[in-house]
Amino acid sequence: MATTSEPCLSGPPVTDPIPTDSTPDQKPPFLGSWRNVYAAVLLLLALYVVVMGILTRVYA
Amino acid sequence: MSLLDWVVLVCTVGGIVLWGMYRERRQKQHAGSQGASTLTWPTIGLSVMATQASAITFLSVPGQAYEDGMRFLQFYLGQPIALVLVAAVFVPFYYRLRVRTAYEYLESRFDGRVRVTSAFLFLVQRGLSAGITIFAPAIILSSILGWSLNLTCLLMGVFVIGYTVSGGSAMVSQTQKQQMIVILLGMVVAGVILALRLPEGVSVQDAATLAGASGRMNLLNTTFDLSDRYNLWSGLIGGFFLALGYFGTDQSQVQRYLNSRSMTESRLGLLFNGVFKIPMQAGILFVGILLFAFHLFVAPPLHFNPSVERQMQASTAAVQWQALQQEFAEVHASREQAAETLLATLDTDTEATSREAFVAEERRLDSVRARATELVETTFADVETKDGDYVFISFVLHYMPHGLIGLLLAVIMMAAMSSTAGELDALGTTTASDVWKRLVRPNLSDAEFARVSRLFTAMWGVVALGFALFASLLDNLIEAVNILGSLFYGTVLGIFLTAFLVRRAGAVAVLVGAAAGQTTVLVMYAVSSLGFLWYNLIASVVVVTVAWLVSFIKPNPAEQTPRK
Repeated sequence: MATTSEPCLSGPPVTDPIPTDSTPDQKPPFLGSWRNVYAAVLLLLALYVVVMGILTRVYA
Repeated sequence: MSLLDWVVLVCTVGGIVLWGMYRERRQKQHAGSQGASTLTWPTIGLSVMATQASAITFLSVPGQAYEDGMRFLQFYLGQPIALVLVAAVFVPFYYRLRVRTAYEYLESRFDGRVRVTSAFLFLVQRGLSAGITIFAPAIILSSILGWSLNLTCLLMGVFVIGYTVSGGSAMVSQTQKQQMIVILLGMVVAGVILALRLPEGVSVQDAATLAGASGRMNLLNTTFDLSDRYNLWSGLIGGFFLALGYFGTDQSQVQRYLNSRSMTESRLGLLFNGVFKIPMQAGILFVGILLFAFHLFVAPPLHFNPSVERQMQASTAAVQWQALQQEFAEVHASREQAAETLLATLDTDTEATSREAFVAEERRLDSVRARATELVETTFADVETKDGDYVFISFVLHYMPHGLIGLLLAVIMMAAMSSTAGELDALGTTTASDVWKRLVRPNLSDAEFARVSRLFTAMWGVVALGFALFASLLDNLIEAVNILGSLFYGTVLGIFLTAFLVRRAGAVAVLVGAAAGQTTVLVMYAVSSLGFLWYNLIASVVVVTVAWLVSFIKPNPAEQTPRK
């Protein structure tokens, strides 16, 4: 990524901040898509919360 | 400590450092002059975990559970959500821009002032944090050797600075995987030993029951209370913003996960933490619960900090201190009896009565400890009275078998090395890239950059060491380091969110927003009783909102230029 060659800090942006070349987005090695992987992580979080709730209730 | 413990400690720590040096040299030879990374997601995942989990995690978290129960676990509930967002949005962004630091992106989006401002906020917060993480293992050394905390801070600081500067980022990543494995193994060993040291007839389930009776099995609290530090909502919302700021914008983490062979490996390494962080922390907190149960049947000291104990015995208040110790022993015996009665009457008609009696004895013991704390405060004005950070180390030194003491101490030392090294490394790189190269020497070659990074790493090590010498004035370390983070992460996160979400905002708008956000949080910290996790959300919202409003007066110049 290009940076300015002078120490001036307040010039306008010198590059287009939106990357235009796309690095190929590979599929994850399991679950078929990144969306599925993210959903699995969030589902696991929900499970952790449920378990925490159950343990609190049992031992309160 | 025995000779065996010292041998285990030195061999474990030394072995891993030598292994790291060997792997780093081999990787240099294979990767060529560009230094292309070959790290895969398990290494990245463990490296990210090791950078976050410092010695404070293993020293202070069991003590947190011993005193306050399991509710600290809620602090991490927002982390998996944040990591999903970082993997989905931030990682592809950083990869495609090919940035060395997170703040380089901000220059292209806004201008150099925003880049330097964000880098500065990171440097201040992380520099102070590094001081706390040097201080934590210094506590251990001070407890073992009986040396002053200042001396052990100096020793620890010099050792970690030398380790980081000599190896650099690559060696840090190589050794963190092995360190994390040994650390996790060590905590499992500690948990097993504690479970085995419970009296005959007292199971782990009984330990949880007793902890529950005293209110310590408080894993989940669904009440919405802004002044309560740890509940479901502060964890999910406040914790989400803290984790998003930490993993998305803190260079000590960005550097870890960008140092992989592909975007896929970076994402999986992050998501690995999203899956395993909560169970890992639950396990460490449960070690504190087992410690609590253990000390129901084995009398704890009146004060866990051996230095305070020594000072009180030698002070003018020695007679009063000994009287309190006598009273403490008597109340402990009553509490032990009440605990045994409670276990014997579980699931019977008299369980409720036994439970009340146990809670009453617990309160009596807390009252004796409170009077002991008051006596320390009136005898010595400048001594820190909180002793939660010494609970776990006290158990390790007095009740673990020889050999395993050395292993547990190696665990804590390595946790300190890995996280402090990661922090110092990031501080050095950020200073070299976002300050030195950006402002002073723009034409720095890669070799010179590496050399300058190491110099700045050493410089920040000295700064952190200076702060460590004052860290003894702080309360519980795990809370101190997270409060410090929450004071700054929200502002930096707000700058990044403005960059992503508010296209019309230029440099002036976001700088005004950042000033507003940071001021708001510092004022609230000074005057309000709001739980610290909420500062992350508040600062982010203030930065984005003010930047958006200011953008109507001073819009983004790049958005004004007609596109060809």
